[in-house]
Amino acid sequence: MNDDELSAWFVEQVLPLEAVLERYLRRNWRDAGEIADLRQEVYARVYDGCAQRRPESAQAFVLSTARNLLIDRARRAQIVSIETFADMDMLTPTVDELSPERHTAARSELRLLQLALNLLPERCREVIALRKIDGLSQREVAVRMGITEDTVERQVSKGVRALAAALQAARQGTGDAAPVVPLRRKGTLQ
Amino acid sequence: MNNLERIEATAADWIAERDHGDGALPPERQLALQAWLKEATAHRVAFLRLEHAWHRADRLRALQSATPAAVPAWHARLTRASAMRWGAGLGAAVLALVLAIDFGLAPQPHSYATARGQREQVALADGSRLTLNTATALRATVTSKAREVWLDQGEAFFDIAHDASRPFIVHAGGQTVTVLGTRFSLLREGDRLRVAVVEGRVRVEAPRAKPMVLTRDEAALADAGSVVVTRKSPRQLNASLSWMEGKLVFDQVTLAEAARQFNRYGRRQLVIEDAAAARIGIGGVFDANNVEAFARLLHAGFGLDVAVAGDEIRVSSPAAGNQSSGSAVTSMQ
Repeated sequence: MNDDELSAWFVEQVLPLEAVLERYLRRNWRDAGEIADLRQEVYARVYDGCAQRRPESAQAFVLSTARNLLIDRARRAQIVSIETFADMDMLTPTVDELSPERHTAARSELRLLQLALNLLPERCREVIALRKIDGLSQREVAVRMGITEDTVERQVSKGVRALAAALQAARQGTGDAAPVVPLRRKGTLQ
Repeated sequence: MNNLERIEATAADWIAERDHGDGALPPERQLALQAWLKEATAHRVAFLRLEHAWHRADRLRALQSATPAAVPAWHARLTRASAMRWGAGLGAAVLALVLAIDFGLAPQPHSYATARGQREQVALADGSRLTLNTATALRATVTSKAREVWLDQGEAFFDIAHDASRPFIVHAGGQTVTVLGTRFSLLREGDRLRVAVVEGRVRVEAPRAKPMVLTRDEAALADAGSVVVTRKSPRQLNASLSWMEGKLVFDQVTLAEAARQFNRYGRRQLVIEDAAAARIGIGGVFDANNVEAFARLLHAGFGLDVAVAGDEIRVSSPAAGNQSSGSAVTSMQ
């Protein structure tokens, strides 16, 4: 499979699972500051791991990769403390996480984007809003806001990072978080 | 964490630079981007993730208020192109001139098209999302008063934002499909239209037939004189939408039919040379873009003779004396 096909598969099948993945990582790793790093590591491993064959279920593969990564990291950091996770079984994804995620319906995707937009820093938000809502080009945004095109480009760069993070935060905020007492189905993953 | 932040910042800079050029980079920069992506998978996944977020944000167009000051997209493109050619000084004058002319003109439909084997998602200004399958062409107009699409060719999945004040209308040849907000797919085969509804209510009209309303898990085949509605099991419905994941799902269809479906996607065309081979029942899940793998399976699983000749893959029953072996149902990743 060439890079373009693999990338297309990754965008369509793996990236929509970000909310599920982050939920899983947050539940099973103490250090919240490392979640982004872990998430990207999972993505890289999934991307490389699927170069030859794509898995039947992207979701199961992503969660299984995440689980193995957490075990690796715990071992390497020699975290023997019981506080990190009580037993290996705790890492088993919940039934909730294993069932296929439905594609977000058009309306709620828009709501999510609005929430994300509101989480952006002020200047970023204005640039992104002019660019995405009103459809102005970067040059037109510069004229409208009375700033240089270079500044606009820098704000877009900051903005796309903030947007990706905000979409995640907005998703958690809309109540898609895992239930407090999740049902567990053991032995589903290696 | 520092390393990740550096990678993400670089990826974001690339996206911002490409966005500055309205989605395109000059050739030497494109090469530089490809080189950076190839350097490490961490680079590539960071880039894909940010690119995906940026692409999703296109939906925000739906929030644009329809005031006279708003500049429609095709219009903005025209002014940008002019400004670039004549220099910034004249640009403003051109913009003013075009704005003056534009008042009172109806918005032009946007055209979207996919090549063979390509799949594309399109976000409309109302927040609706269309997924175009292989070799598909459609036009869309969304204004504050109406939402209309013309499906000129091919197949698309419609995820339509609910809006009772603006019914969403699709014209496909002689047939018309009207919805308020729902999810459904349309496949146009010349003058016939296949409809499959995942959610919501869809009204299908044909020139000389009574309009029919379809709901969840219903499908219809409409030609000029009739609209025939059938119920599908969720499994059958999912199978007919498997193209959205780049797959073809066959449930005991003839090899002739399977070949016809594959042939929509690739340059290489399957040619089934004899009637006996054409009648073989095929079942399984296949990668729509990998007809070569399918052909190999036909050989390995059914013992069919497979020969590649230029842009054709010729399939025929084995020469007399060979028995076909293998099960009738095969599947592959």
